[in-house]
Amino acid sequence: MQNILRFISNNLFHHRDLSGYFEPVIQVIKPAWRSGFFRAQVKGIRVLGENALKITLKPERKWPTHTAGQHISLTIVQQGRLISRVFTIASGAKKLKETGLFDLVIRTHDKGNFTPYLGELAMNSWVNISNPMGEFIFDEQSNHTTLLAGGSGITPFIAMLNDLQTNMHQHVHLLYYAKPNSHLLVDVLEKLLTRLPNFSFELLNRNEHGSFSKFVSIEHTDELLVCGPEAMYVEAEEFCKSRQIPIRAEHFQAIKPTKPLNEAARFTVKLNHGDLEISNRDSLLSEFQSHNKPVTYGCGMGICHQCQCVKKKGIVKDMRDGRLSDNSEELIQLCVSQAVTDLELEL
Amino acid sequence: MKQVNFDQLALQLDEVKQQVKAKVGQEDANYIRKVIVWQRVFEWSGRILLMLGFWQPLLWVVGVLSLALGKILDNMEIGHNVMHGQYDWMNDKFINSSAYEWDIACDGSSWNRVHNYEHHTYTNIIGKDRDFGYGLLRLSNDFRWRVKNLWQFITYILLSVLFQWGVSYHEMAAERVFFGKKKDNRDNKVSHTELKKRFFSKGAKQLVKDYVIFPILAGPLFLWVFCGNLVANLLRNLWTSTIIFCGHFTEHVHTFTEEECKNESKGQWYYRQALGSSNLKGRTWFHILTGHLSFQIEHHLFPDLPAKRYPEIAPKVQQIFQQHGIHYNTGGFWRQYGSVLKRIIRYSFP
Repeated sequence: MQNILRFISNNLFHHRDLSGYFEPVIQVIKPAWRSGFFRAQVKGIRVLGENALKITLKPERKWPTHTAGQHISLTIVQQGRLISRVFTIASGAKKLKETGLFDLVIRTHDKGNFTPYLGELAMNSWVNISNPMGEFIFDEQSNHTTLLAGGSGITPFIAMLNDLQTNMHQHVHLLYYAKPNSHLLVDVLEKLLTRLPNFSFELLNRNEHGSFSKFVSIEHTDELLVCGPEAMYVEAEEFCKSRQIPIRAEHFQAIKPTKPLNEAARFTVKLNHGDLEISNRDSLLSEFQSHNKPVTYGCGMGICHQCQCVKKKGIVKDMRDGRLSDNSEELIQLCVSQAVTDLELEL
Repeated sequence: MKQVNFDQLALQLDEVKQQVKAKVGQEDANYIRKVIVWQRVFEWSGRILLMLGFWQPLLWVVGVLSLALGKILDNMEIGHNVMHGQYDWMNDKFINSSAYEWDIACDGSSWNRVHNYEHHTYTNIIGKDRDFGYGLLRLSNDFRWRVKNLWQFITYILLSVLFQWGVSYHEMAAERVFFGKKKDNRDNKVSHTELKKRFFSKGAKQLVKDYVIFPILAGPLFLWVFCGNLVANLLRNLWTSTIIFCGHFTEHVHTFTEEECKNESKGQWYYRQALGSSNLKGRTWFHILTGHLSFQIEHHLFPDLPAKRYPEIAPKVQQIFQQHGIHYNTGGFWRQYGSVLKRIIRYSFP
């Protein structure tokens, strides 16, 4: 059937798929309808402390129910431009079944390219979401589980704990690191404490309490689940390796420039076939040519779009006006782009 | 080249570009989606009305006009502009220069390669921009007169009538692909086999769609639909050809030699774009139907800014040109088109 539709689309509608031809028309009736995405309606935005938001979404009915701990890609329109980021769902499947809603708890960054716009979302406006993804879910076979969270990394654990039954047999201990007075959803954790008899938690901060290792009871940890910044994960991995404790982790780190823009640096570009190390002193096109990579090109000044390719990940600088790109997927022109971070490109 | 302060010209035009670029956003995204919706409305109203011709022939006429309008919007305001990358910033899966394909015989990627690269980079440089006269017409003394130029007005009429096929043939550098003519300075980035495949594949799709499938779907109304599609394509061809000719072949448009353009600075590049293009005055609906190519000068200066922004850029560009003493070539449709016809006839003779 799909092949027939594709054939019709290609031959009668000069589009690679029918939804592309009709999408703007369907959007007149169904706002934010996009092929390959699900729609979700904004049902609540609540400020949590200084730099965090809780966004409640109502996904359309055909959205597959998630399992606590899974994440989604959230796509919003900012000034006509579609931008996406990945977030872990901060509520369980139980809430979705009962209310048709789920929550995202998001740490906002004033100078970010995405989170500052979340607060501007209007009630009942539409956003796009992906399928629930990931296998970072609670293992019900484990008798003693230690959860290690850092900052907004608390979200999958809140979802997991919310979905646990009151009469659960497992013992779960949560170590939650954040800056002083920046711990999120403490009220929810306290409620969980009364509902789940085998659950306990500690609110910690790095300066005062130091490493998490001294808080982990080795004999009472069958598995360590980690969600937080990369440094936390690296430390936890080493800890578990030396003590032979199974570890599972999830973290999404926003890619940021690591070097000052005017400083010479080398970055790795992941291409369709293998990696390449390049300098940030010249355009990506010149760099590829100097490495004898076959690239289609034209004017060399950003006009003809012949050297255009899809940037899957990473940040580039537009050499014409110095603007930095977003770090998510977008089209770039190699002749006027310089690497600012490691990149993943589809040539 | 004339003594113009090219560095200052570049700075001023870059500033205009940055000012407009900073404003590009939701309004532009809404606009292009709205135009696409109207395009679909005109196209499908047209296709349906063509079938009602047997009942009331006037409906067939309205259907033809509606379908032609749909095709013109698709080719000009949507296809041409989207494929220039004017809406790539939207990150839309379908409205971008890599994905968009238009309702015309010319394969989008072949057009992209020749038009965006050759024509927009080397605008009006004789020997490098094959769009100047399309290799068929002698439009300046830069070309040696040949006997065939005597009847080039008829060639022009034929080209306009069959414009979509002319563009398709031209964009794949057909004379080299089919007849093996080589140019020393041309690098064949796409193989001839691939170009031929694209030419025949897209052309066949268009023929089958408009002259086989849609007429067959109409059953006993086959001929009404067949003829309606034929006339709609003809109207589109005449309109696009006329507008495009007015953009580069009016009376005061300049040509350049390769020598003149060696080591060209950004300012000199802007200057060449300015003198190689001409505008048309008109109302908003007229500009939309031309795909805003009625602002050919602004389009050549800033080909990847959303075309809808050209009317607001034009007065600033005109002011900058005035400061530098650069002629801003604009005029009403009949005046500009008249000068195109005059040029075609004038250079028919030695």
